[in-house]
Amino acid sequence: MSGVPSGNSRTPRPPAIDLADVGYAYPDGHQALRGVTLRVQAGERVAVLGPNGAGKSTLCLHLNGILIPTGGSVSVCGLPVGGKNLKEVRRRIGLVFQDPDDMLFMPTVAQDVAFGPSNLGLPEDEILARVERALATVGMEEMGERSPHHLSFGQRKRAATAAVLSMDPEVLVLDEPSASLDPRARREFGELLAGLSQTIVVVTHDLPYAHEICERAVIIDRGRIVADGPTDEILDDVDLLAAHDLELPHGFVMDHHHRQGKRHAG
Amino acid sequence: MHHGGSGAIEAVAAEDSPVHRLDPRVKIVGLISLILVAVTLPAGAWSAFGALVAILLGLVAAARLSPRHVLRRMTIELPFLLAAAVLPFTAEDGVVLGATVALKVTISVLAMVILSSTTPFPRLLRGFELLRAPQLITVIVAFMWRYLHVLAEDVARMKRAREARGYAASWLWQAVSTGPLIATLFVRSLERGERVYLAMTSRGYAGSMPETATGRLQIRAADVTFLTTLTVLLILVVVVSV
Repeated sequence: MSGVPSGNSRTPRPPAIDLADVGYAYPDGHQALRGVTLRVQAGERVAVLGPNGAGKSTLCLHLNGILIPTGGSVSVCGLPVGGKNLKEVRRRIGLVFQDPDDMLFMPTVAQDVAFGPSNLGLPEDEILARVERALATVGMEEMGERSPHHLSFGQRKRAATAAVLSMDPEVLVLDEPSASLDPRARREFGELLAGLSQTIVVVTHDLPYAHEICERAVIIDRGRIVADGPTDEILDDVDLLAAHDLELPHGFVMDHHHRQGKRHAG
Repeated sequence: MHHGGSGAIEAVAAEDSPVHRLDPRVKIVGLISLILVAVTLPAGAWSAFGALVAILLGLVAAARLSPRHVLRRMTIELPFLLAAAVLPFTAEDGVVLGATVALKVTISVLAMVILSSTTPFPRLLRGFELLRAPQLITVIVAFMWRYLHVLAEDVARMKRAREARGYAASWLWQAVSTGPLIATLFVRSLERGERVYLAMTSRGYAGSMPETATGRLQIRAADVTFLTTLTVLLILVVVVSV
């Protein structure tokens, strides 16, 4: 548990996410994470790939201190996750859950988008400005007064993303963002993510989607990181994918220039 | 999106009319005052009851609510009317008493039907919040309303899955086998609740709901007119009846 890697002096900013030898066992004894070490620099877009039950969602919940590791340490933007930092960590890490119905619990979309900033104790005008901005970012400025059950699944997904963006997070963590989206909603949501300036971590087993959005990918299996590199290379390695129960769709041809909104960290 | 009852009332509440446009707060205060007057009127104050019914029917007309919608919503009072129908046979002066009870129930229910049919639920809730209703209650009601829709979808899916596997039981067997369906729904809801709580915590929730900044309401001239007129009418009704 002492294997904390030495600091990287090249980077001017602390890493957006720094997991050092993180282990986690659920109260029932199930060891979900076994020594995960992962460092994500500010501005990076990283896909966390892995089959169901590999520990992907458990990993997500560590990033904002919902789960506290039973071994190792987690830091976010230089802040150790836990104790008095929790509030700030939760502001900086925006977690978008797989099912938007788990996130949208208020009677209207606007009220829901206002929930996070209200918890931050911001002044009212600032909250309203943020709600407006977040809804505009996801292209839902007309739908603030709608109720979530009057929206399509894709719209709910975008509303849930707005509900996180309104907290002005530095890192966006998305759990299975493409799940249950129809092709058009899937593409539109990908375009939305491509247009964002935040550091992005996408947890998924949808490999083409990971390829579209992220330049870097890691594979997690049985609670361990087993591969880490450029998405193109990871997805080119058929044997590696097969060894960890991942598959590209049949007939999928990787277009190396296809990635949307490719940017440089900075 | 189409869950019979609640869907129908939502569609009606989303329409537009002078009554729909009123601030939810003045509708809540006005109609609850009217109910208070109705329940405190003495037995046999027929003209006063008549006046209250007339006011409500006037609102129904102004709100352009269809009589069919109103009548269907009013069926909720049937059990109370049945109770009132027993009174003539059991109490002294039972006919007057029974008719009075029936009128009081009808007026109260009609007032609530008008309120809920002219105010979209989020606005209604916001109105109660701004009137300083206990937050615990408004929050619980808000959660119920939001997740009833999600649960209804869950149930519809589970039923469809059951039918897809050739399930077509008699109503009796259906009643018996609803048990496991409810059990599954219960477990799912628990899990859902846990995830909703996690999602709230992720957005900085720390045990108390923040004040909502959105959904600001503003009292306009029409609201003042409505409340003043209604108050004057209610005072007249009370004065005339004593």
